[in-house]
Amino acid sequence: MEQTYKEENRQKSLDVLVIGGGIVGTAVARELSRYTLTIGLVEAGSDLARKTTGANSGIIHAGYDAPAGSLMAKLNVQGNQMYPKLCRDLDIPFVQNGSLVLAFTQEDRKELQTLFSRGLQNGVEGLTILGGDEVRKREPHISQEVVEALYAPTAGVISPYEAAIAFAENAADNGAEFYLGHPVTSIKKTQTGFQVTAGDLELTCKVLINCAGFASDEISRMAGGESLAAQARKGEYILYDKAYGDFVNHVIFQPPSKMGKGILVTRTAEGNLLVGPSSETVYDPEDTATTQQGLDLVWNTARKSCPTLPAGGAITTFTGVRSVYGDDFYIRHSELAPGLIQTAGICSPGLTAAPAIAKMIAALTGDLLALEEKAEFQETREGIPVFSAMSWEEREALIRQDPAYARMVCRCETVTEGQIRRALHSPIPVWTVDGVKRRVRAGMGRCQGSFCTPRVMEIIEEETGIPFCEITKNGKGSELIVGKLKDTNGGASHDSKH
Amino acid sequence: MIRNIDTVIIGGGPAGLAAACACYDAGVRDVYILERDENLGGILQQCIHNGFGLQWFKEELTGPEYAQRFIDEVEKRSIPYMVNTMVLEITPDKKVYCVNPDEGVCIFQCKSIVLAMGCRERVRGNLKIPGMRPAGVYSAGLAQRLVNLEGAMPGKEVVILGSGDIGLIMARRMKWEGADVKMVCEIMPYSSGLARNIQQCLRDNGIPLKLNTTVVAIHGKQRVEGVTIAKVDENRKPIPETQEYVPCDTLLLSVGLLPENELSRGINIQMDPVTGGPKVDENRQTSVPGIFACGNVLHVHDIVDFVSKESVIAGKGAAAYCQNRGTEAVSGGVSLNPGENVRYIVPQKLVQAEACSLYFRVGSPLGAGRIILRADGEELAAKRFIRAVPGEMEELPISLEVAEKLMSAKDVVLSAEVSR
Repeated sequence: MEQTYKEENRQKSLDVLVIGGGIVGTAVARELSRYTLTIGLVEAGSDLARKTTGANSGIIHAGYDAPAGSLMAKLNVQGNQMYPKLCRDLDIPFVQNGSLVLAFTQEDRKELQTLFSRGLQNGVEGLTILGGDEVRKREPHISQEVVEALYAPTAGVISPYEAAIAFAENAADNGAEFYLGHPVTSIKKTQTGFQVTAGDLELTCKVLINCAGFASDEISRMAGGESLAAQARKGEYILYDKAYGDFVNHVIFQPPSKMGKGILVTRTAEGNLLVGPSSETVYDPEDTATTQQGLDLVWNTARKSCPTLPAGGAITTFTGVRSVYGDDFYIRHSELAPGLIQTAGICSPGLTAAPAIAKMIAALTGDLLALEEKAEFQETREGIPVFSAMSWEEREALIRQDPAYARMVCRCETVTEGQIRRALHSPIPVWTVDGVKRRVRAGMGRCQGSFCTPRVMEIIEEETGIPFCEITKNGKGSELIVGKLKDTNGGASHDSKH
Repeated sequence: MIRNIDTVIIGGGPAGLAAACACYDAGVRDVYILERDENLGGILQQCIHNGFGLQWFKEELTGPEYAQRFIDEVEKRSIPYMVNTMVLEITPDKKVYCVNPDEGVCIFQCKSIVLAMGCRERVRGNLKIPGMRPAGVYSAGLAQRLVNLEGAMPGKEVVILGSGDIGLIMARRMKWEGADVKMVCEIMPYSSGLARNIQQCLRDNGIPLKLNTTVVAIHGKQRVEGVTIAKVDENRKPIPETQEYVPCDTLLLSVGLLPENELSRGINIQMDPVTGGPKVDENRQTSVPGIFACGNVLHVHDIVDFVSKESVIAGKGAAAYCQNRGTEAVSGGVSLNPGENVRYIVPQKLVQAEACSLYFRVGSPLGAGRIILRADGEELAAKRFIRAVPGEMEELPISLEVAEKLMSAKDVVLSAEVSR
């Protein structure tokens, strides 16, 4: 039941093949779709943005963290400047609420000075240092211990997976082809480029772009490229009910350490409260388990910033794993395998930098292929209507067009049947319960799908013909039910309702 | 277009249905029920087991049968209702905004409103149970819906966390449908479920109940492959040495219910942090005049018969408000305070000197003792009990004479005192 976009032909000849459907791969596909190139993107998982992109803080960083002159610094600041327009063009939820780095001690104040001057060097605009009382005026829940904070007005919050989906859908609208659920199993160098086997697909391309995150090393090895073995760093998060979404107004950081930017407290782009991440080096990038120690650490550390952080009110916890390769992003032509463009170690601020990384990769692609802009490039994308964010007049008009927009499926996030049906017919449709959730937020709220899951499954069955029993949470192996009741006739259709 | 309606009932489950009938019977003919599901009856429709109605109808009914009796009463009175209708907002001046596929956006201007939205289940994230996030972790109510309404089996090898009634009912249901129900784990030293459910659902089916035990990790990448359980100490902290891996493909959670008060919070109705529902007076009127609440949106009930009883009070109150017969005084009155061993009391306050009943729960299982209501130190009413458990709601009737005395008291305390 994995679907691909335009998969009528199992063999494809492309100019550019992007491997990996995270924020970098999708941004690259979108950027390259400006040009008269045939572009494909293969993704091993059942959906886009399932790994590092799917579970992180969702922060658009201002750009004062990375050392001046680094790729991270440059691309962070560039990316930060690109997002406001991108989010308007591509209908991505984005709130530019600014960030505060808190200082609790004299040591911390020195650190703020370092960040401040680094920010100036990096070209970050609007940085100011606020006194403790000013900070508490803006943020009533901040600790009395805070003596100063670095305020960066250009920081913000975004939904990382919605951004990746938006990039991909816009790329698809502009002709890029997406093959989900197709893990790459072999790459052969040919005279004109590469031949790539991904699931049952045989793809040939002139330029191969490796945006495979943790799999970058393996992809590079298959293509005869450099070793890109990266370290996996895991971070645990606690997500709170929207009732706590206004607990803080800004993205609240503590002073950074060697292990990263520390544990933050923020609202999300959708209005939840998020705290995390812990930071722990792990061997297995697939280890996305949360742990009692990790969650306790997150909560206790976040309470240093906000001592009244509620003990209750969490609706879920999750773990993200980020890839660390040296001290900087690794983005360059492969020396060992000409025609291969490599990325590795796209950890924080990778989300912020992604659109700038995409520009950089487009330029690298331009070294290999002639880039000619398409006259018909469609710069904007219309997302699925967000019923919960509409005025009563807009709701009325939408329901008049299609009454399915009045049938509430997810009561917690106010998601209607119309939105879910629309999601199942997206430019890159994904027919899983989590796929629907990532696109319209059904099941993302306080009951975590306890009420809406069966109805979402029924709509998937109605729209796609996938039998009820075969519908998955997240692709093969994650079937939600194991079969029909023993005393009902075992027909494939789901006929015993009521 | 704004429609004028005397009383709108939000929710067509057992609370809303009983409140609608009572409101009608009290003389308000212009009552309207709004239900978000495609049928009336609420969660009762998925509760196909019996045991409902012993108090109200003096006979044993299934959930759908119990619901149908009230739906019939609604039909008999020709009380209008709209299904597939989700209320998205209410205002302090009692406008109700909702959407319906046929009508689009509907706005009702009401004289009174009865909140009867019910409750939702606590989920894994509320407890922050660590581990992976595979398919196969369900709330017991979701599993019940899948089995009873969709005819679908959520799993074959099942561990249940939480011995609330839905968990116990689903342990038996899954067992009867052929699943291997390995155990029910309960973090507390006692079950919060009804005694009859422990016997009929677990003991009669040979399903072990592990007290002082919780789930400390969930394993499996795509689908649940197992859980780690552990004993807990007296502070409910897991004891690492007692960890045990239990292979299973499903974890059902029956770890408590939460009144669904998003609409109430939207207009800043005063809430009771213990019940999770609005604070109400003896007419079940909230802190916003003309807005009443009943059923599981007010506080979680163990049996539906009590929901019906409470909803009749709310329905009458809403009718009286429409007819301008008192109950305006939401700010005055005397507060009822939970004392020793009492977790909460509904109603939270009294505004009129009238005979009524106080409903309450104890904080932990108690042996024999007395329920005592004191006003400024003076014992006004009392009742003996042989045993009391948090899972079973208690009732203390208040006479007119006692109510009159309470109205002039400053400090009213209800306590459950164990005989020494």
